[in-house]
Amino acid sequence: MSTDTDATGRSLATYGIVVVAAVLIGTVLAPYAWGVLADDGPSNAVAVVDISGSITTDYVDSLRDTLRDVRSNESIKAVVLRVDSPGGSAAASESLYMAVDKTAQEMPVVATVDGVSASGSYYGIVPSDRIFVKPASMVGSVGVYATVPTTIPDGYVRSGPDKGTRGTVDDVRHTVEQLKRAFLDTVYAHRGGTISLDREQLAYGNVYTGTESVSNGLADEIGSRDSAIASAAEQAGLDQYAIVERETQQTGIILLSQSNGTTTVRTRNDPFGYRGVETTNYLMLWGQPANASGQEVIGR
Amino acid sequence: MNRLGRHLGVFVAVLVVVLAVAAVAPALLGSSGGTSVSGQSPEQYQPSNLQFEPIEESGSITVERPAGTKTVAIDLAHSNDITREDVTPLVSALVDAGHEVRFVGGETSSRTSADSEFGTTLQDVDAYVVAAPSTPFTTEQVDAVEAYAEADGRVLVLEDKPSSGITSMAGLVVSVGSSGVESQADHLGSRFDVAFGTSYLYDMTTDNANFKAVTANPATESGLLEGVEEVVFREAVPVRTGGDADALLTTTPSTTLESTRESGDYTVLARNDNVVAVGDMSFLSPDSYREADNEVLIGNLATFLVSGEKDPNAPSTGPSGDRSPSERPGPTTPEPGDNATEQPASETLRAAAT
Repeated sequence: MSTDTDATGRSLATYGIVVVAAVLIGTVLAPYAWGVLADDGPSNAVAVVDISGSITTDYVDSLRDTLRDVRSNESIKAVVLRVDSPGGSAAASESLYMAVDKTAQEMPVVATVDGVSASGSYYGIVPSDRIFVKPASMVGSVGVYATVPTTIPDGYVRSGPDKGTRGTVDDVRHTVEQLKRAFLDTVYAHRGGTISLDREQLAYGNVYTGTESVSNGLADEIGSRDSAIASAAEQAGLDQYAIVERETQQTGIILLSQSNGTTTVRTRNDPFGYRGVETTNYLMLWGQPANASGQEVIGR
Repeated sequence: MNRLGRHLGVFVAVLVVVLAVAAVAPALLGSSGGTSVSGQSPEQYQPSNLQFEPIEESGSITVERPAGTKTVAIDLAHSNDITREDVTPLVSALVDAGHEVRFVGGETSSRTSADSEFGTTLQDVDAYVVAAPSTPFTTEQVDAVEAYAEADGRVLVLEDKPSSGITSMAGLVVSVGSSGVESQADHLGSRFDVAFGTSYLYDMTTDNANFKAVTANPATESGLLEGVEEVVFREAVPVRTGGDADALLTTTPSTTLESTRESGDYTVLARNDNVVAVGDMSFLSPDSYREADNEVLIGNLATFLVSGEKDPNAPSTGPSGDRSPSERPGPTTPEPGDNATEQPASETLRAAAT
């Protein structure tokens, strides 16, 4: 009886040791198992992120999430920003800049301009380690302008003379100058060593062709999208790598509606403002918003 | 052997369970691993880097009080691209100094004043201010303004941003573009020897204001510039001068003409005897009238307007127009049913009314 009890005890102890050993070994191996499903890409990869269309707050929110995911993915070693955008709202452009700057502090970031990278979108890619363009690309338009609702309707009872507005025209001019300074300072903080344009020339807000932008230092090289990918991989020290596309949906700009089997695509009337509310908009945009008529424009 | 097999089986089973849990957990738990973010506050975004002192605003408009009350007419009969608010500081200063300001024409008039009415209007007033008209003056009106000025009537002509300038001064003052004179026929401009450019001025070296804010300084000594050291115009166009007109205010050398991109000293205020031409209206506005020495310049211009001794019969309006001011009817209020197009609207502001 005593012998059986001892044998059972030893057997349980042995099983316990086996279980503990299995748990310990499993714990050691768990991170690898964790990565099997959590890692959605190859071990070494270059992510290609699109920045296209108007730069709006909603869009940059999505882009910021995309770039955060890229940064947290250990397999992604570099990022290529594929750009075709005339810019957008000033606040969204600044947010885009900070998201790209954050990424560039952690891994190589290379931008390639498909068509246009002007104003707010150029603001966003300026922290890139290199900027590739094509001869017909349009780059630059460093500056800002404000669209101001022209009148306060009669019948409004307001608590102060500036309530519901941005204040006087002087106030708006002042803000435009501040935002312009931040934009210029940011460009020179990142590309001051390469830009041949002085501050006064850059502040004109002109756009330059790809060829011109390489000459004046707003961009680095003429090259294709693959040139940018190869450059990003080289800076990350990758010989073999996968290319992963990270698409970000434009939100708030394109509205789709379906009826009778047909799909209608239309542009939201007020992509930079707030639906139903007319406010002063500060824009870093090459071109004019379609709904700018009826508003006073300051800063151009 | 069986025992070893069972132990091995248990080991493998436990290991598989542990690894399976580890593998499935991310999918089941999503972002349960959490994240850690750090914010950003770029150095170039700091308020200390972006704040700047705007152009100083101070002072008030002072208008001399010559003997007697003078009447200043502000033209609204030529679809002028101004609002009454735009000229409020000038109007208030004149009225406060005991003078009258009369807005002539305006929204209730659907067409330009008839020539005879225009002449009568000029007869009634001591000074005539015309800013950014967008319908042309007729030959008769141009002749009347010239006769008016020759009779010591004071004329102040203002123009600013090109959108209102290309055709506006047709008939009164020549407008010139970068390629030369655009409008030459039938102009009084050649008689006054002044012309407005049709392209705006800017200064990219301005570091405390919008690029359209240009600074101008006296080019010569003149009573019109007494106390003026520096003025700021925010919608300026150049004023070209001929032999009989004097350039009184010129911009700083870094000022650039938008159409040609040439920098230089551009005249923005000129005087030809009783006619003063200013290539800006923004300095009169409530937003800008106290910037730099703008308020001093406005005071001097107001004093200029009320300092003439115009012949009361000038300009001649023909046989029926040779009346003394006391015989002439004042501004009339249309009776109900009157056709507003036959009578230019007018409104008079006096000190008592304020």
